[in-house]
Amino acid sequence: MIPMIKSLTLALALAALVGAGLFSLLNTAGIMSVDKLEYLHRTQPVTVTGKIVSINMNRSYVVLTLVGDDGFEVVALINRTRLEALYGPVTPSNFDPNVVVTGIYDPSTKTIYVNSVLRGCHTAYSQPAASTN
Amino acid sequence: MILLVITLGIFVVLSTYLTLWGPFPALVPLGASTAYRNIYLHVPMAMLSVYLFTAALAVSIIYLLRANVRVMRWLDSLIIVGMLYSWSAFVTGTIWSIESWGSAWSWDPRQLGLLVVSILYTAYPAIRGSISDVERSRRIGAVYSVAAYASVPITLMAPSIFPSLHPSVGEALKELAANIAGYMYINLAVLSVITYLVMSIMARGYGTSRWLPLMVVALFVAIGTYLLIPYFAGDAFRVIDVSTLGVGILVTLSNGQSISTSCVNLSPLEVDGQPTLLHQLVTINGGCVFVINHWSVGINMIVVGITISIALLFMNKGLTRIYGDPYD
Repeated sequence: MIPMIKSLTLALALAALVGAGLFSLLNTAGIMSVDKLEYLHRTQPVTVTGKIVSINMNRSYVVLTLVGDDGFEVVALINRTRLEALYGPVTPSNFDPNVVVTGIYDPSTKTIYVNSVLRGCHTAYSQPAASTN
Repeated sequence: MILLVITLGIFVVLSTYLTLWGPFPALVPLGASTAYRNIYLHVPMAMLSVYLFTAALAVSIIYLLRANVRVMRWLDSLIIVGMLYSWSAFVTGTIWSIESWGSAWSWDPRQLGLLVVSILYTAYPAIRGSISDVERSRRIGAVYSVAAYASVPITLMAPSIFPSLHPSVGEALKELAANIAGYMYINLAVLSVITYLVMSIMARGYGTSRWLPLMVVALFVAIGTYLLIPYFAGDAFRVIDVSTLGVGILVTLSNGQSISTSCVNLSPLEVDGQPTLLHQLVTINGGCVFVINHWSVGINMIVVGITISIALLFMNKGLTRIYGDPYD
């Protein structure tokens, strides 16, 4: 009986360790909120989510101002040609209120040089079905 | 064995039908909506891996309370198949996300969590096989299985806790159009039967059908390759603009070509005033526009075929040769 209890106790303790480890990993390595960028001090790749407060567009770039939950603001600079190759013609109304971008963050200018604007698939699932016949 | 062959046949036919003609969401946030036919491949693999690991948890606890060789055989077969399915779910999801999220890797918490789950369970056969004392190996394996399971519910709940590109648990399936969800569940049910039969054979001994893995992978590779033909031929183009004409529509493609047509194989052509043809991948033939699957569906068919084929190979090999345990 005792070896069984010892084994189960060990298993549960290890499970707690695994769970805590994975939770910590997802908390630090997952998609960050924009406000976490405030604590970065060197240029590095990031994937962040933020609320859009303004959108400006010219021929070459789409410039988004993103804000985090505590008010920290950054600029996301997106190559317009690359964006429109994925999304087609882009207007400010194409953007959801919250956006996820991946790119290189420069803390000296608080600018993200965006590689990709990512989209979650949430809204797809509530759409009616289509078919190819 | 005959039942396994029959259900494999049903799965091949059903998966082929769904990836060629199955329904998909009409409007999606990014890319071609035909990429969502990956629902019929990726989601059953992911769901089944969760069920198998959950069953493995229960079986591990039973084994720790009452050591039994038959229980151990079931634990070992649950984990080896669950591990294969979790890797398959990770790979198919990553390939799908290139189109539908905009990047193969995005630090999405569910994607990252699934990678960790797959790695953890991949270590199980290595751990079991590295301990020469059989009783000790089984007990440590059961302990490890309980410990590793902690990663599963966290991965499942991750989209509800952290910013994520995945929908939360149950959210997508609840909202899916009834026919899409229905077909997905049918495919899941057939794959579940196949999985149970494979594991039963493994848990009792080993399979003897040497041609079955080869047949399965050949069929899925053939179907996947068929889906990729337009890409090999250079005939696939992205629709970058759609405008309505008096009769028909004007379609502008990524190669600069514009075509005016009323012959399109997509239905419906519009939802709430938005054209469903926009961003689709198409071929042009005889003045008609044919919407084709995104290439991720073809590749994922091959991935799923390889996964099932490897499961069948393991079934043929037998647990003793996989784990080095005589189970006596």
